[in-house]
Amino acid sequence: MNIIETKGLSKSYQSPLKEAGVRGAIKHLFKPEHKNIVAVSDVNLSIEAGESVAYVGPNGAGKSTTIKMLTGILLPSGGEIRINGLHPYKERMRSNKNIGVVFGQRTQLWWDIPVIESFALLRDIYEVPEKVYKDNLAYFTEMLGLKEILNQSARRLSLGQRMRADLAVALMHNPAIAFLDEPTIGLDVAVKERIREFLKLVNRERGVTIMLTSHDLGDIEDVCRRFIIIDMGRIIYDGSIQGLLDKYVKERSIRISASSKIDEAATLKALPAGIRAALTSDRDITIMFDRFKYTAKNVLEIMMKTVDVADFQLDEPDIEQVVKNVYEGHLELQDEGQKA
Amino acid sequence: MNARLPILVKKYVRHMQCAIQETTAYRASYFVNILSQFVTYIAIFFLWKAVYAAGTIIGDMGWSDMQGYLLISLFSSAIISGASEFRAARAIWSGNIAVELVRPVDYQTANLAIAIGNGLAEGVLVAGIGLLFAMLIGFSTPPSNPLTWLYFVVAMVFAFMIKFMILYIFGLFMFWTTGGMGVSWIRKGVTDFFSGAVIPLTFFPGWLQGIAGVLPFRGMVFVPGMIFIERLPQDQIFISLALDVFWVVALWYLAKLIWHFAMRKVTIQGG
Repeated sequence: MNIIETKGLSKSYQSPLKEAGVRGAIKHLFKPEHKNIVAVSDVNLSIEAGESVAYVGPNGAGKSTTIKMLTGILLPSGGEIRINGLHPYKERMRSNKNIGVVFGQRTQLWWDIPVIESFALLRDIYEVPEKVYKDNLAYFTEMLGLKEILNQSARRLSLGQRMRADLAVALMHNPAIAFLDEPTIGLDVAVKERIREFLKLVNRERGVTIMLTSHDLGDIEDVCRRFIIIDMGRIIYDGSIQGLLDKYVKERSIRISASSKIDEAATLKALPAGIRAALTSDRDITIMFDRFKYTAKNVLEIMMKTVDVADFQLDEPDIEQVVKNVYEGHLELQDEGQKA
Repeated sequence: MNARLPILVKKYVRHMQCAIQETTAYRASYFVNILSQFVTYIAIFFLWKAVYAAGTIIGDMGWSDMQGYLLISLFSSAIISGASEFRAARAIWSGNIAVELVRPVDYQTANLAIAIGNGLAEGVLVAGIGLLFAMLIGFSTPPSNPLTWLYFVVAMVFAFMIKFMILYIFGLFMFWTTGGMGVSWIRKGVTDFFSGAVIPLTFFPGWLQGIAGVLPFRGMVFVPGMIFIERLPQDQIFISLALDVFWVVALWYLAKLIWHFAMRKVTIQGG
């Protein structure tokens, strides 16, 4: 059975439509008009226990709205939804016992009291047995380096400290699923690294299913094995990271520096179909080639005939570039009809 | 079920404990809060003292009765701080409601537990200071009948519950108005007037007493106040407490209903 399952999940809501200025404001007061905004539309998810899934999309794509429906905060306006076989909104109290959530931009910690007291609160809320709590506390304190912050109040913590404590809070009750909404937002490289390592461990050793949203593709490549892209409320890709690259990155590129001036006309003329080139200076040239048709060796051999190659650099297909292209609407993923 | 009960209660007791710590976390604000309530009390105290200087009995209450009544009025206002009113609305506005809802906790019960914690942290001290002040100034007639104390404590528990429910419900309305002060002023005007916090309800003209007599607000100040100064006959006490019970239950479910509608409308920021 899938631990997360949605069919045709949708969420739309009414947003007030106001005309500009005082006139618009007064008009709205007596005759309010609304427009229907579709945040999430026909989302189908099937995620098995133990998976690590990245949920990616540009700002406003519907990521957080989906997460909020999966965690029982928002009531879907359409479709089916099951978390562990339960309806997260209608059976919120039962469903949410088995999940842990981090909202990177908010905290679960009680602002004005020591962190350890928030932990104790969560222990009692989730009815965690004392033994489990003690073990987990020791484990998280060690893994996330919490020792020096346990007795500080949350408002005194740095963002990195706060986020680490929030991760511990989310996992203290051994949830089956962890929803992590931008858990590394605003953090420095060292803390990010630590959190990623921790998440991998939690996923692989403890078998916690992870669903993570992030704009940092480093997080995703490192932690997640499955990749779901949402744009304008619809899922436009669902599969492995390699699959995404294979499908949408047809080209690789080689950057070549020459030891003498490059003869542009002759070089371009010598290229077969499927290979393109662009001079970046009179001694530097970038070659783009279909990576399913040619190998880097083929390309270099061709180039050496016309160019005095001094040095070269091979650029690997970059997930960042793919995602950027998707965000900017350059790539049409899956069938055309799905994208508006 | 019985075995699970302590565990179920424990999570809310822990909310209460955290709230006590929270209230006392900002010492300056803690003492200023207490002081502000006390200052209001002293102002009303001397106002009534001046009124009583003109005549010894107003309505059917003497100055000594009024002193006892005012003390309970202070106590009643101290047991729930205004923070309870804004807690839910603030959480909804800021979007922090999200982190509270991902926990398997009944939101209303958790809010009640927090209000109790805040109330214990502030109310106890205010009550102590108030009593001390009253005794210094010459108030010397706390009820001697143990049964009166029993009724009083029960009435005070109901007073707390009713006040919490009223604050919580008005707080939820702030969600629709997306602005708090207007709602809060209306709420304060209505509760202060109909609870008898400003003027004991027996001073009202008959028709107004009739209205106030069936509303929930009287349970907040008037009922515990009149019990404390032993001005309510036994049958009236039972009727009043029964009415309190009715309102506590009714308001509890009304609040749940309003919450239900609020949540259906809620579209938390940052989607």
